[in-house]
Amino acid sequence: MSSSLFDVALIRKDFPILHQEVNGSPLVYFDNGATSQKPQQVIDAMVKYYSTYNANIHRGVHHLSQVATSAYEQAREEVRAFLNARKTEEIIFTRGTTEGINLVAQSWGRNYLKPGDEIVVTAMEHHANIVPWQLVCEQTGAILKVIPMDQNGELILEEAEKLIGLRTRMVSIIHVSNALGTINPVRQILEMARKSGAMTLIDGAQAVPHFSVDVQELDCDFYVFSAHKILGPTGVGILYGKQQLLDQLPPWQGGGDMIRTVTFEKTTYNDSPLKFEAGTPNISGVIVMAEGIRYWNALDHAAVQEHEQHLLTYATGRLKEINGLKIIGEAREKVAVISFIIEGLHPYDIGFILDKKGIALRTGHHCAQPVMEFFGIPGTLRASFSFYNTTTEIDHMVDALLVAQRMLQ
Amino acid sequence: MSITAKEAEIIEEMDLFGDWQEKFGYVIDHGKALPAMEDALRVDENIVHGCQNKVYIVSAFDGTLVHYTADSEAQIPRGLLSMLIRVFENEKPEDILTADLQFIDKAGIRDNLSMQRSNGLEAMIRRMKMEAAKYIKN
Repeated sequence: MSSSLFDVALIRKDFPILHQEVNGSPLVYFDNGATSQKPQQVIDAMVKYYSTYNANIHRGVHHLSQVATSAYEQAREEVRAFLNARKTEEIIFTRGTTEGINLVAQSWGRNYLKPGDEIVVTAMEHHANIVPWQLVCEQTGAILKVIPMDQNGELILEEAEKLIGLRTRMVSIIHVSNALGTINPVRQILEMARKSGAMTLIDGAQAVPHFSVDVQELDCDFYVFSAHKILGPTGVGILYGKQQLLDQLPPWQGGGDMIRTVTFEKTTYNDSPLKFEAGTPNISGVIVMAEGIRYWNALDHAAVQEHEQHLLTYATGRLKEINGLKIIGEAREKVAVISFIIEGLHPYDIGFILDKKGIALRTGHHCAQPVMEFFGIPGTLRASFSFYNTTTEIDHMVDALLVAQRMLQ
Repeated sequence: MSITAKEAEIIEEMDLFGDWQEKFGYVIDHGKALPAMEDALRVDENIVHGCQNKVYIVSAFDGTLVHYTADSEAQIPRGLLSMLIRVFENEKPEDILTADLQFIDKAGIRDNLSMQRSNGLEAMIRRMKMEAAKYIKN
């Protein structure tokens, strides 16, 4: 059974990696939360770049440099439209979500935070949205506060109301939990932050692969995500920031491209976004990422969402048939991600057996150790689905889990 | 029985099994025979670093031979530990230190482990050898 609006078989033809056997079984790729697979169009764009117009950008007067510069800046426009940002100047290319958060923590936090100022995150953050703030807290004397969650994996908004106040300078929250799949009520939390005059950052790494995001509608100050989780290559991230803020922030890293003039006495800086893109950037990665976004744009998003929600419902139902299986994170609003444990069995052992059956799942703490600590478990298995997954693959996973259970009990 | 003879036994037993499922069923069964480690020994200094999950190894020396106690929260590493103990238990520290283990490759265990897991297994062996080294008088 699969959703009628969406031709998964046709979509799967675009993803060559999916058509292979692993350990003698057809590959079932359910680790999309870690990284998505890439369509042929993206792979071709990478080959085309290196085959026909590889050059360094912004400073070359020669033809290839101009073609590469134009494709690179066109990619920025593609991302602007993707996030519905006002201006291309608001789009900064980074190495990934993690670097985007570190950039804000250091450029903004280190320069504007004072002892006693508070930074608010949630209990379900990825380590990438905890550690950069802890570092800047150590450097400035600011304090990290945490919005708690309940047993379903939903944030407790009454507690957020109490935490976000006059001392709050930054509210930095995960849009969608990578460990639980919870879609957080970011609009409500952003509203609380705005009322208290705090800055806001949204970690959208797990959101953009599943639904459209409009930064103007959200009205957040910063939004970050990684290209590789939405059909693009690794090593490219996006930091969106409101232009008036970016104009005020000092550069984070120094080097080529971010300067206007350099003398040994004084250096002046370029305007945003180049001010924040020191050194030769990941030119091929950025250009290829735009191809991933174009692929995503061409999909019927309503159908994608319906298909993914169908996968979520179907998998949730099938997994609950397994004795002793417990789903960790049953928020009302979820993307197609399911974290689970099987009573008495270690996720490591199950992951091993699933791998032998050709099924790629994540096992462990998912870079969210505080989440695991909250639920009192060492880790989970996580199946994270993409629009190219099928219910047949879910059946294979359930069969493999039953084999694992037989072997281990 | 020497380390090599004990390895030969394991290789022979594992040879009876055809596919990975049977082989690892046997590894898991080995783990079930391993007595649980007492809580007092489950402390940080007994943790083997380099494993993806928590593995503990402790040793004792009776003046001639080395004795091991080990545990893991997961069953496959537990089975592997149990097999390593079967090979190294009641052996002289010098023999453990110089042993060049063959059974992991010859019994078809390594073929079925990912690189990370294989590294974890190597970390267990290294730790057991380091424990044995403590008892060698210079």
